[in-house]
Amino acid sequence: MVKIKCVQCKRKAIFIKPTLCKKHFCLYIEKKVYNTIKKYKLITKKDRLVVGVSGGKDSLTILYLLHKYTKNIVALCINEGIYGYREATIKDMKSFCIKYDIPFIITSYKEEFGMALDEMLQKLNEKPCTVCGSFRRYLLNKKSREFGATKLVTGHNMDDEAQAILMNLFKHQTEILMRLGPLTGILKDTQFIPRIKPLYFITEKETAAYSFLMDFNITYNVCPNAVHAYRGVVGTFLNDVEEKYTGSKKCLINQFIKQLPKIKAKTMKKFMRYCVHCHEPSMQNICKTCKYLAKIRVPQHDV
Amino acid sequence: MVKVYNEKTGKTLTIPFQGKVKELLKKTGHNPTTVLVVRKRELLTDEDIVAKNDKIEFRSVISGG
Repeated sequence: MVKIKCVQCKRKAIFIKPTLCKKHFCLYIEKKVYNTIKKYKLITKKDRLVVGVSGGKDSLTILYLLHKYTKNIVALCINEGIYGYREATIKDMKSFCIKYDIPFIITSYKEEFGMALDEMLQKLNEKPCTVCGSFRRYLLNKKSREFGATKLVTGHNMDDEAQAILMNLFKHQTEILMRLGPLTGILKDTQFIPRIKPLYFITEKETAAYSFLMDFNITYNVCPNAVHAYRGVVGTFLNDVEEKYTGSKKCLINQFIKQLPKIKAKTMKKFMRYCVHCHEPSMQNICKTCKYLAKIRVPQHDV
Repeated sequence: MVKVYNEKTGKTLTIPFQGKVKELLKKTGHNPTTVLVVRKRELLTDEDIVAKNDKIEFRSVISGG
């Protein structure tokens, strides 16, 4: 019987590339995340962190690892209002936070904008993920600021980032590329909370394996709107490439990181405006969230 | 016969099989980068052997949202 052995201790491997046993795989993930934090100076001792969480594998992994790293964290969960989807992951997130004694906040589109996403989508002729993403980014920034956060942490992994790079290149949205990278936020601004992605160099499969090995209780649940997502198409394409040419995602990410300073230098002058309605940071005079809210005729939200 | 439970679909497939995990993945049309393969609560690598009568679980690594 073939038994692949851990390159560190010769016990049976549970993962290949890196070829490690359970113990050394978990140590590898933790070390890689903490090294990313240090190398890119993602967190300082003075930082107060808000962690955007969904209750899925990525958010629980980052929440757990940061909880080991610092006690200055709060979990922030946004209930978009997607029937039959978010309830299960919120339950998982709550149980997790209670187990590890992590303070958490739950807010919703209904509470903040007067309408759940499902209702918004009935009134807007837009792609669900575009609308949802706009409202979510808006709320994550606003709520993080309200809770005095100096950094907003997300559970984006290497796959998420590689997909975002390709999606923006395919759509020729090169200016949006500057928002990517392990640390976003190009100019210091009191209204905008910089975002950090400590799982930046961890693949989706690695995160899934880590959360499985750590026995995090995660309900597999698919957003009913995901079927419309462009991200899914790009993700499948990337996974096909990765299967045939191992290391392609890592190569893409590493090349992108090298180019990122040039992209930021070229485009940063055009940004950092404020929405004339809500005064949140925006790329245009009126932010996307306010444009959507005007279309669905919700009274102006609290600014 | 090997029983393969797919967490994503909630369906169980019973198939005649004996061989490496990577061959099972290929036979069932799964990309190895997108699933974790589990037997008795233990992760299997692509090179591990699946024996007759094994109960296997495929867990999707792709986030649902």
